[in-house]
Amino acid sequence: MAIAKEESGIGANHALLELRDLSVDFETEQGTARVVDRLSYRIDRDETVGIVGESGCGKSVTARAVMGLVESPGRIASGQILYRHGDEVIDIAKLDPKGRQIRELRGNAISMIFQEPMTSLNPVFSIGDQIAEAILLHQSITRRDAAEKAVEMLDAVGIPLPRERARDFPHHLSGGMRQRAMIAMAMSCNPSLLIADEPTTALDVTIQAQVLDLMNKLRAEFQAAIMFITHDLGVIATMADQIRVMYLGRVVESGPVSTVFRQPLHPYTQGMMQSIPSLRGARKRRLQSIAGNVPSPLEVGPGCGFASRCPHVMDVCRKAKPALVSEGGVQSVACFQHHTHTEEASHAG
Amino acid sequence: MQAEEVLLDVADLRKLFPIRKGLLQRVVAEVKAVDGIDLRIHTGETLGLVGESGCGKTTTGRTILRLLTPTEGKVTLRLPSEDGTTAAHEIDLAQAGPRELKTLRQKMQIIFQDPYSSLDPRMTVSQIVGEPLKVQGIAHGQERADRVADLLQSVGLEPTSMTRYPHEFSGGQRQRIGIARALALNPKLIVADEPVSALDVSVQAQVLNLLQDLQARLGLTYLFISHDMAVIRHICDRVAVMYLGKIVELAETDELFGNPRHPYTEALMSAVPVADPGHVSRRILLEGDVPSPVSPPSGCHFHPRCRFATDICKSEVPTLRTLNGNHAVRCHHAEKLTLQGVESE
Repeated sequence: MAIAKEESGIGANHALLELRDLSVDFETEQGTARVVDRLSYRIDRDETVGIVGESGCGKSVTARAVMGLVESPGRIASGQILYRHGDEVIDIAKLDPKGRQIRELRGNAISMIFQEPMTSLNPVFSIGDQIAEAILLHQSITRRDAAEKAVEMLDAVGIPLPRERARDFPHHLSGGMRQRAMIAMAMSCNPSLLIADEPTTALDVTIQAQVLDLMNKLRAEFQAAIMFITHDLGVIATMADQIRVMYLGRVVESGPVSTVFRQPLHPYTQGMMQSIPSLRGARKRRLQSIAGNVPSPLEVGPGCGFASRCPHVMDVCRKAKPALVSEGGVQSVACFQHHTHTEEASHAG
Repeated sequence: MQAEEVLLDVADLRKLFPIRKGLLQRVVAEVKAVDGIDLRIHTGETLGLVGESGCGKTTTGRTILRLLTPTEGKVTLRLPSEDGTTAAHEIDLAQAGPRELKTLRQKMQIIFQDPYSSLDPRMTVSQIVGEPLKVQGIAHGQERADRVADLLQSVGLEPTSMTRYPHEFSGGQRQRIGIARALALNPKLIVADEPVSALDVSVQAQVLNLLQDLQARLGLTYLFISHDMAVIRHICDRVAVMYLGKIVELAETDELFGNPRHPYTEALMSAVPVADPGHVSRRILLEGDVPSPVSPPSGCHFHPRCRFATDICKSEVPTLRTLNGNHAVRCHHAEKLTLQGVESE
């Protein structure tokens, strides 16, 4: 356990979470795979930060690290996860994953909703019991009050007849209702940070619209910061204030959603935005696709991870990793087309 | 594109799944997965089938291919004669026997959603892609190997991948293997069942482009099944929207998206999150979930979630009517409603 003193970054009074040079390794038979690679970013209070990237980019592993849920064969190799809890700043990376302190934070100050609600709810307990248990774990109230609070939460997430539904088991509910129940559980202890890992990916589009609408209402009501992980740029545009585009364990571009969508700077962000068919654009045109496939984290060389697929690749891209550098204020990009800062130089400085 | 030549004619197709219970396995209810579908697919076109989970789109695709036996209905495959002089050969797939089905399967193939479970992990790529040729007894030995190499090349894979196993490939590459297998017998019709849903966006674009290229090159006809409105709009010439086992709207793509006539289509389109933060959402939120196809609502199946529902919607099942031109809709009030479509850029 380590309590850092007030510092810059997390020291700013609206900062809530700051990742500093976070690396997560997974031991595999073929060697060590660095799945999250010296990742640094900050989430402020009341802010929704969209983390976007394709499978294997490390977005979910980052979320699990923040929850203190990285399990073997994975481990946090280096870096800090600074979380401001009241007046103190806690480095989650240094906490014992089974210890008292992380268990106090987890599900209480920081809670999480997952992609597949069926596998994250316990099939043998009723919805109401599961929510009440989460409340009892973190608050000193009676079982009866906790049960009452669970019904209130089900009501708050728009589940009709909450008192009856509280007695239902997960399999009684539809996918959308289950995700609402998950959200009710996550919000029941009034978290200051909600991590939503692809919360609507398994849902139908009309149900997704309902759940996104609900999350927008709740974030205003509960004033929680949200780390919203998704591969869907449409969902990011609807939900997030800030965007962090991840590729091979690193942030390649970040900034306010409006700025990044208007003018994406990184070739990967550009490629991703051009590759999605739109509801309004020209039909039947050839989609701009990104050539090749995401390389395995085991194959990453000394250069930029995107170099093997990049249409603008230069010699330098294969030799050094570009640092994430601010371009004109709010937007940052890790690409040698825009600057010459290598990661090593920025670390030395 | 020969737009008017009908390749496949589906008439009143039904597929019921019985629900059995108890010791005697008595049928206690039926799931009407496909509940009276009429469709015509023209040679060379891409017909989209869109809807939410459980609407019966996959069952429709599989019943058309006779991977499932239809409970009722007629599926006519019209094969033009080779030299074009004699009349087209018509076969009712729903009635075809096993021997006839085997030859027919050369004409129609399927691409599955999940490129992980649809390839046998113990077979090499050349065995997987060559299997249809083997089953149909079309090519042997070196001839088969050459054909497999050609097929792999046409889907953008190296012929050297022939000796490798599926687990050595990424999702997008596996989907290419699945496409090569579907193409092996030179089919006329390909049912593509959510072919890009399991893929990452950048890879999804590659596969969509490939499907379009292959269609142009080989004159393929696609029945393209997807839940993704944007993908459907991108690739399809005409689109059928399904809800609880029935087609509720069918029109040419631009017409359907620009001028939807069914409230469900409108809601489905408005629910898609737009990748533009400046976009002012005029989202129509539907209440509740899709009802169970075991006991669908009376009258119009959509009425409990419809903001325009009136008494007639609760009591009378609407028919699929043709409005102007080729725009068909299953709604009592279609003429009177003003619905919002998608403005094209």
